Order: sequence, then structure tokens, then C-alpha cells
Amino acid sequence: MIPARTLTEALRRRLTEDADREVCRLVHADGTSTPVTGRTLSDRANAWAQRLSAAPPGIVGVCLYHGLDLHAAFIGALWAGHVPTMLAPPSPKMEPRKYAEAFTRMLGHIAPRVLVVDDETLGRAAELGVLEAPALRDVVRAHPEELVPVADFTPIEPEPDAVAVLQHSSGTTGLQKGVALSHREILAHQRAYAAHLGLTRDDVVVSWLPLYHDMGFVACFLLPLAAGLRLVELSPFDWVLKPLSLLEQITRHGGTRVWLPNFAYTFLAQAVRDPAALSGLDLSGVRSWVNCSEPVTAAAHEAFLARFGVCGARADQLTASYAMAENVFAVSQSLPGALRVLTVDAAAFRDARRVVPAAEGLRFVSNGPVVAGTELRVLAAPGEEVGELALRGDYRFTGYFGRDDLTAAAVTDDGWYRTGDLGFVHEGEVYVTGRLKDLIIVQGRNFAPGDIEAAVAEVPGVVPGRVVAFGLPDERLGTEQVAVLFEVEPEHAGAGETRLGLAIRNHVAQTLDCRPGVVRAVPPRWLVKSTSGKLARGDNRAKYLAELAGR
Amino acid sequence: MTDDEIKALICDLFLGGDTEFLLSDDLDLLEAGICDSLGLVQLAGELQAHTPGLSILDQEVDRTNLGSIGAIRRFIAGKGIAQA
Repeated sequence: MIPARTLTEALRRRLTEDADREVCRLVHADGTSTPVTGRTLSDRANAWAQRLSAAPPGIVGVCLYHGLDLHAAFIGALWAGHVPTMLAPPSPKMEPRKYAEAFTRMLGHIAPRVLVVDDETLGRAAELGVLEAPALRDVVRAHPEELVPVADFTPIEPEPDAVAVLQHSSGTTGLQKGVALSHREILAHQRAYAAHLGLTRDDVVVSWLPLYHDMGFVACFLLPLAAGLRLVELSPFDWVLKPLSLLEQITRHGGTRVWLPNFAYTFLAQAVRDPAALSGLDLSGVRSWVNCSEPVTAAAHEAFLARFGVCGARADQLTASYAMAENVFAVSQSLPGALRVLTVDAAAFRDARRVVPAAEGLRFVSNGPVVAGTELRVLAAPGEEVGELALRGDYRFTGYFGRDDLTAAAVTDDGWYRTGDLGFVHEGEVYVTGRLKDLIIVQGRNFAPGDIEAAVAEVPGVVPGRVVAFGLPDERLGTEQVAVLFEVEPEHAGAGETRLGLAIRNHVAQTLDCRPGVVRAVPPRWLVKSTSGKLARGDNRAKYLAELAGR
Repeated sequence: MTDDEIKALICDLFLGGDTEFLLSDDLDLLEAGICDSLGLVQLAGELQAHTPGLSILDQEVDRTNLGSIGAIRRFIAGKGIAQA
């Protein structure tokens, strides 16, 4: 790790020290790539800092697709004394009105002073009608074409406890919160996480992850920059169309550290249709594949090894991490060669919430020991071992930006952040077993069931208030699938139900960029309500599994 | 692979096994919210695994070839593989 008091200083020192070395390599759609030296990135960041220094200090939203300016504008904003935040650029897959609504609501929360956009973002944003949103009326737009090269720019040095960046929880409207992280918190996390993983200056991170998501932003952007690692970066859009390009870049550039959500292990294995595509791939130099951002399954790892073992992928490279933006990133992380899979007695686990190792039963993948600087506690009832996970420590987040109410609800008076995740600790390692909060994670993306239910209720023919959405594990795709149960207005019953199901899928895909697996009409009054009169998602999920699943 | 087998595969892969779902011949799987481009890659893998002799190239994994039941049937037939 580069010694520094602030992220501003760390990035300046790194780019100065490595002025003539490659710090990053940007991979293009055709597989060719452009090396970026410390000087190239620093020069561009200086130009951005100069441009952005015209605005009084505040939030700067960086809304760009893959490329040099995505990195440089972020660093430049930081150097100019702003608080930068990576924003998801418009997705062509979403319905314009919904994207505009979500985007402008989020802008309303963070009130940016400046929005960094380029022709591509502006073009898409204009197509989507986002630019007319009232929240954008007073926001200054900064564009790469306005940049003027500058000889140097002296960064504005903030206090270590000042907010450095905002990290957005990746999710639907109901989940959008700006997680405020200070310079001190980010550097403390990076130091601890780098030491935990044993990172060295010759490590090379290869990633396709978007930078508006915490795994991409912290592990595959800030960490390599601050720890002095080389980064090879692909565009998420290119990766989806050509998944094996990730493995080709690892082979070509000697990748040693790779972070991936669970579904990607299965997806990569499925993407190989011609075994000839494996020839020439060499994954033997990878020191760790880190699986995180959604429940880690042994099946996904097994599928990955079965397919890529011939290319040098080994079980001792596989690791898993329990991570969240509220702890900068990693809470716990298993180490190469030490990934445990624990089988526990199903009845003891379900009925008594106790962890009893057994030859057969429920399988959980360990997320490893807690990273130094974080304390983890299981809020289990007396006599039980499974409960909500809570954490505090050196790099727990400062708060939700502009939302003291949400911060107060999530953090106890003595500093414990209640994660909403369920789990246990066994022989010093963290296992995540489920969720207390209603949240569905599909391919690393978070969906609030309430947002899905609201979208479904907009479809004519669905009985208002009689919709429930929940997650179901999908072993085959290595992720969760969204299930939607709904009641139907009488005139749509019977044959109309299938048409309604189609309309629901279409509407949910367009409004939330979410594709439910199960969409099913249920008879009137089938859905269970809680004593408070609300539809109980957990109860309806259990009833679905008992009465309808597979029938 | 017959039309029914293609439908069954799609239902199994993306629709939680819901075989009642209305899958007409020309229903656009992406437009209808049944799968996205990531899903097309998964679908290509499953189609190849279930169709002896079928080999799908990376550049063939797109909406034109795999975006509906009809498109898939025509694509497989175009490869010279007769329907069972």
C-alpha cells in the first residue's frame, strides 16, 4: 500500500511514482487494448481537476461508459476538492420514463453540483428524455471536449475524516442510498484488505465489473490504484457478449486477482460451447478468484472447475468474500487454498437455528475469517447460533448521505451496523445463510421486492395490492430468480391469465431491467397477509414452495 | 430438436419451469422480458448441449438467430440439422 493520509494523496503518489509504468490497460470490444501509464492518467485527471475546480466543492456525478475519462474524471474531481460518485450510465434496456424517474430521484438525494457526461452518455440520456428532468436544471455539465491540458494541478488536500466518495447501493429505487465513505475509512479498508489477501506489487487485477457497483468500484478500481497493482479493464457490455474475453485477457496479461459474482462462474462455464475455445487459455497464474456480491454456491465453483480445470483453474485459487458498501467493501474473505464448504444437519439448522456439522444436509460455502479492523457479531437468540450479522470497526461507513433517518435506523447507538443478513460463525469463519431484509439478488444486482410489486401492480388486470415478489435460488444459473405471484381481476381470469403473465414480464423487464422466473396467477385470497394486513413475503414464499412449485 | 423441446428448454431455463406460459412462435424473447443478452448466451449453451451435431459460434449468439422459437428453429434448420 502506498502510505498516505487521504485517498487524494494516495492517488497522487501512485500516479507520480508510476508515471512511466502501466497502471491500467483498457480493453476494447475487439480484444485489443490500450495501455495507460501513470502520467497519461495523471495528465488527464489534472485536466479534469482544472475543469471541475471552477465549481464550488460538492458532489460530482461521473456518468460515463468504460474508458480513460471514467477513471480520470473521478480522480480529477477528487483532486479538485469535490466528492465524486460513479453513476450508472443509461441502459438501453430500460424503459425511458422509469430510468429517468430513478435517475432523477437519485440526483434529488445527492444534489450534485456537476455531472460529468460525454457524447455517448448525452446521446443515450437525450433519447431517454433524462436531460429535461427538473433535478438537472441547475446541474453544470462537464464534457471531455471542454478539457484543456494543464502542466500540473495541486490537489486540494482534505481532512482524513472528510467524506471522500459516495458509493451507491446498486439496486432498484427502494434501495438507492448514497453510502458516504471518508478518506480514513477507505484507506483503512484498503490497507487491511490488501494485507489479508497478501497483495503484492506484481499482482494484476482483471475485471469487467461496472464501477458504479461496490465490487467493481472498490476491489477493481480503488484497490489496484491505491495498492499499486496493475489493472486490466473490460467493458461490462463487451463481456456479456463475449464472456471468455475475460479469460483471454487474464491469459494475455498475466492476471492474478479476479473478483466475480457467483453467477459469473456458472455463466462462464456455460459460455464454452466449443472446447477448442479453451485452447490457449492459461489460468494457472491466478492467485485468487474472489466470489462475492451474491450468495456463494459450491455448485457454481464445481461447474467452473469442471470446465476450466483443463486451462489451469484449481480449487486452491477459489475464495469467497462477504462484502458490502457499508463496510467500504470486505467484511470477511477466505484465503486461497482454504475455502471451506460446511455441511450441517438440516433439521437442527431449520428448527433450532443451530450449526451441527453432518455428513449430509445443507451445504454452505465459508466467506472466510473477518478482515482485520472489522468486528462481527451474530445477533442470535439465547441457545441459538444463527442470527442477524452486525458489524462495526475502523472502516464502517460514515452514514447514508443526506439520510440521517436511514443511518439511525441501521446503526445502533454503540456503533453496530445491522446488515439485515443472516448467518453464523463456525471455527472463526463467516457463513451467510439468508436474509432478514426483503431483498432479491439476481446476478449481483439487488432488487427490492416492493419495487417489483409496484411495477406488477401497474399492469391492468392485476388486483391492486394483491401482488407479492420474492427470491428463489436458481442453482442452474448460479443466482436467484425473481418469483411473482398475483391475483387477477375477474374479467381476466382463465385464458386471460397467460396474456397477463406476458404483460407483467414485459413491463417488469422494461421498468426495472429485471426478468422474473416464475410469474403466476393465484386464486382470489390465496395470498397470505400478516396480522398487520400486509402481504407477508416469507409466508407466501413458503406457501408457494409447499403448494405450487413444480406443479 | 422439436418446437416443443425448444419451448420446454426455455421454460426450464428462464420461466421457473412454467410450461403453461404463452410462447408463440414469433414472441421476441428479449422484448417480452423472458431473457436478456446474458440469457441468450446461456440458451445457446443449452441448445448445443441438447442438439447433437449443433455448433453455435460466438457471433451467431444474437437476437436474429435465437430471439424467438421460430428464429431458433430456422437457425438450427439452416445448420443442416433436421428436426427430430
